[in-house]
Amino acid sequence: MRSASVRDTANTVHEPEREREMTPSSHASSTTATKPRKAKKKKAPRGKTIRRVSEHTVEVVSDPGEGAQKCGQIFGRVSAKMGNGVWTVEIIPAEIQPPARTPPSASGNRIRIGTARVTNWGDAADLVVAFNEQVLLHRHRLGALKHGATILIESMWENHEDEDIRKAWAEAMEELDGHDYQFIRVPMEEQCLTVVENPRRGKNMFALGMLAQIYSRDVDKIRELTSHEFRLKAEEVREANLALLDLGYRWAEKNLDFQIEVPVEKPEVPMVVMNGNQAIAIGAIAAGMELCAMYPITPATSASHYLSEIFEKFGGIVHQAEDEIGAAGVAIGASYAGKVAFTITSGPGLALKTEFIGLAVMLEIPLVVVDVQRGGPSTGLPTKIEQSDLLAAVYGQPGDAPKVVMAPATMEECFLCMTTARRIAEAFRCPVIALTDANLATGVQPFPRPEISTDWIANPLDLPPVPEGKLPYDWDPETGLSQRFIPGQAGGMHTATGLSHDEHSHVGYSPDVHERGCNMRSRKMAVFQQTLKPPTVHGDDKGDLLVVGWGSTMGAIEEAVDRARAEGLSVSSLHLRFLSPLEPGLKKIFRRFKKVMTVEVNFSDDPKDPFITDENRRRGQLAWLLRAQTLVDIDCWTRVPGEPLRPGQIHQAIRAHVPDGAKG
Amino acid sequence: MPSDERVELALQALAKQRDAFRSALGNTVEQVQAFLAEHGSSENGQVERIAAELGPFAAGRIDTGKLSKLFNNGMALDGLTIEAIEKACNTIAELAERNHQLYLVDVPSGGDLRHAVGQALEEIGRAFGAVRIFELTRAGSRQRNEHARSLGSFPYDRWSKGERRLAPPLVVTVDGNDLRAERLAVFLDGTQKIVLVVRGACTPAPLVRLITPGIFVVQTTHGADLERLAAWDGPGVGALVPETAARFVHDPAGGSEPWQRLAVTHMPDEKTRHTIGGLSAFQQGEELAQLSALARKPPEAPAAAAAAAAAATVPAPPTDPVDKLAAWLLSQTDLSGVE
Repeated sequence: MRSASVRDTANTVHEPEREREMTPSSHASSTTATKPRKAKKKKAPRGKTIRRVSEHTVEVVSDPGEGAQKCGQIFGRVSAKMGNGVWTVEIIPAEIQPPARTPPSASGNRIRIGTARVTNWGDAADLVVAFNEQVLLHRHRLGALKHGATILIESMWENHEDEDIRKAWAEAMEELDGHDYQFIRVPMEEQCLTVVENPRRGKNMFALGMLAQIYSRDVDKIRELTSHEFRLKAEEVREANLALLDLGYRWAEKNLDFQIEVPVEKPEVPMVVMNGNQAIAIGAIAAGMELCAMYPITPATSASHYLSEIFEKFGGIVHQAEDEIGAAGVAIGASYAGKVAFTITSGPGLALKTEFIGLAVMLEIPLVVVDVQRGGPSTGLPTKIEQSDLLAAVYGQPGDAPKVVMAPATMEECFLCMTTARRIAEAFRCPVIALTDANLATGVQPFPRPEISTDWIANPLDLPPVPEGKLPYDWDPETGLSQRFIPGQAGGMHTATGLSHDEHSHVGYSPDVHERGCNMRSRKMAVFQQTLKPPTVHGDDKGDLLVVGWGSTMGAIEEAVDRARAEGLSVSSLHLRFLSPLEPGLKKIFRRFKKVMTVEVNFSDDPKDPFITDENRRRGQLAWLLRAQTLVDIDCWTRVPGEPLRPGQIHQAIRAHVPDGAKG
Repeated sequence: MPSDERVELALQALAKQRDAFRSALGNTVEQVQAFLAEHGSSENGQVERIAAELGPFAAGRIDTGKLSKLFNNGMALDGLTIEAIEKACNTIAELAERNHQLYLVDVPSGGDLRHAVGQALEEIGRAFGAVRIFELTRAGSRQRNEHARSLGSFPYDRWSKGERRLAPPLVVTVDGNDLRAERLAVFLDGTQKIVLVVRGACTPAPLVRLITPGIFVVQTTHGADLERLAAWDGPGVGALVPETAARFVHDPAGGSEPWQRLAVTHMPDEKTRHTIGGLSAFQQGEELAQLSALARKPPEAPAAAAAAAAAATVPAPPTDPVDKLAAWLLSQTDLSGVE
């Protein structure tokens, strides 16, 4: 044992004591009604220290296939079901099967749990369960571990028979030295072998048992969720996993000298726990969608997989088309025929759907497109988050193709946005693109159980005979709006064409026909924009710096802003949900701040880099939009790390960008 | 097989078409209700409805008052119109919720089969009448007395072509003595199906007089043939008859000639000597003779047979477009020099 900070778990004997570490950093939101549960005095078992904290961040990391993700998911869900605020982020290697025991193979989950609502994944992990030292090293190098973090690490590699492995262990430990990590060696393999022959398939349950004991999780709920996870497996497999869970629990009970208590605030309303993709899928059902046409693409696929398990029960169909283009075509065709259809994809798929989305604009066919963004361009970072599709969504089509682009900011909004997207698409006869991302897609967060309304569900289309003289594009000259005809509707027969057309849907290439068509399609967006309300500012409505964001970064941005405000900085934030057309009143709001800056997970040039000038600097995508729309000199701070932004990073950026003289 | 079991069998065989009708009624009710919700509420009601339809994501972000004004088509319904539409809607809803009894007809002994079936269809037709009232009322063409009559009954002869294609199948129990099947011809249109469950003895081929090129006719003792009837996309009639009767299937898809469409699987061995339901032994014999005549394949003329034999040696012309194209290409290529 080379590091003084590495403890041997066999020798821990502590007198019971209570540590209070109620840190103020948990990012509680005032939007969720919670009622503090009368804290029960938890009696520490003999020899255990109980640390009481308002929030804690856990990471479970392994090689792919060892089940760290499942362990983290169950831990997160149980924590949420018990009433803790939770935000989870999956740690997914870019490759499907990277070489084992290498840093890039790190796969797992980060779970941030708190007494109050948790809105983002936080800065660094307080406690890590690592199945080998290489995956731990990866997280360390990314700065994902808190100084002094507790690390429960599989001990088998230290004295492994393979000299290379022993050497790799030693080198890793040397690199990890000096950060005050509190190592606890856990003989996971040795323990698991007492139950199963192949611990690679079960170590995760042992880890889950340890976490359950450390955080005093409801073991019955864990057993229930574990049984559910293995419901399709043989009985003996299920039993073995439950035995490993118990084994991990007992091991931690006997060998660890601490427990961590994150008090629970019982929510006043019933809560549900799901990730963003599940929320999109259930939201689609609640919105009365009837068809999901898709082609598999990471990280969107799980939404349609989940939907395919349940959609038919509600009369819906998931259609896996031959490719992305086909999927868009099927959705457009179904919508043309009067059904409520949507298609779901990710960046490369959105690119392939470009032409068909243009057709939907031209034909004025309602269409909802969900784009679960990942890193790009091209196939880019399939499993990693980025917010790089904004401009492609807004301007992607050749020709003028106005449409609505919106972005939910939380898992709950992923659920709710589907209803709104559907109604806007139908009312304005246009495509609506909802931009989520890999962070929302795979992360889990509890939110109040939605009160589903039958008003959201599809009413059958009213198909009276079309009044004589009514035209398929009978544009109201003021609003550009027109009645939608459905094939088969008496008197509504017309040719649908992607070519420039007039009110009769007759192809027309003359300047006035094309000009009028473009005008009317654009006018609808202006009319829709007039129905939007100005966004609300988080913090004071005037000050030194306004941070503007969109999508999944909301929680991290607001936490960073709150930290800055606690330091006395005059900072506020604004989070946009509608990006095309943009929400009204922005210029007015921006003028009340000395500086406006977007924070985004997409690329922008660093102004300090060589050759970069104010004239040639490429900026964040929202910054481009806002600058063009408001003519305000908006700055940006963007990163493309392939992981969600951390509030600490944003906090630092805020400090760096607050106008000089305002920093005090 | 007891009568009840045969009724169950018939109902089961025709379940799909019946469910489609009920589903259409359910959808219509929703559509009418949606129309009333959209046009029958006040301005405030409209705003609330739009807010509810947009869902909580739009709350605080979209001004539903402004949105409502954009989609206000100016169509305000007066109280009488709303009342008329609501009555029509209630009629459809009431019929949609009825159980199998709506589609079951029991002809009492000595009763009139045609009259009983006509009455049942008239009752079902109230749904079509109600839909027409809805369409006319919202189009501003309100005729109160006429509407009230249509809600009470809507006879088959007033049904449109589309309505006759949506018609639900009927299962009718009737005594063999009362089986005047030929009188049902008037109802065999669209996709109307009628299955007769015959009680007691009946004439040997009561349905033979209904065989025409486009009508599916089946006389059987078991359910499999009824499933074929149910699958036929056109009008049809079936009868579950006693073992003593003939059994046959006339499937319009079988071909252009009667013998190609008609398959007789059982002919009674003995000629009846008794009058049944007023039909004499001779008349009953005529039923069987007609059945045999229709099923008989005409003898081929010698010359025609020779031509057919010659044609048999020549490969049949391809029917598949790809095969046709390949045949043409080969015909354009001189392969005589190729060894």
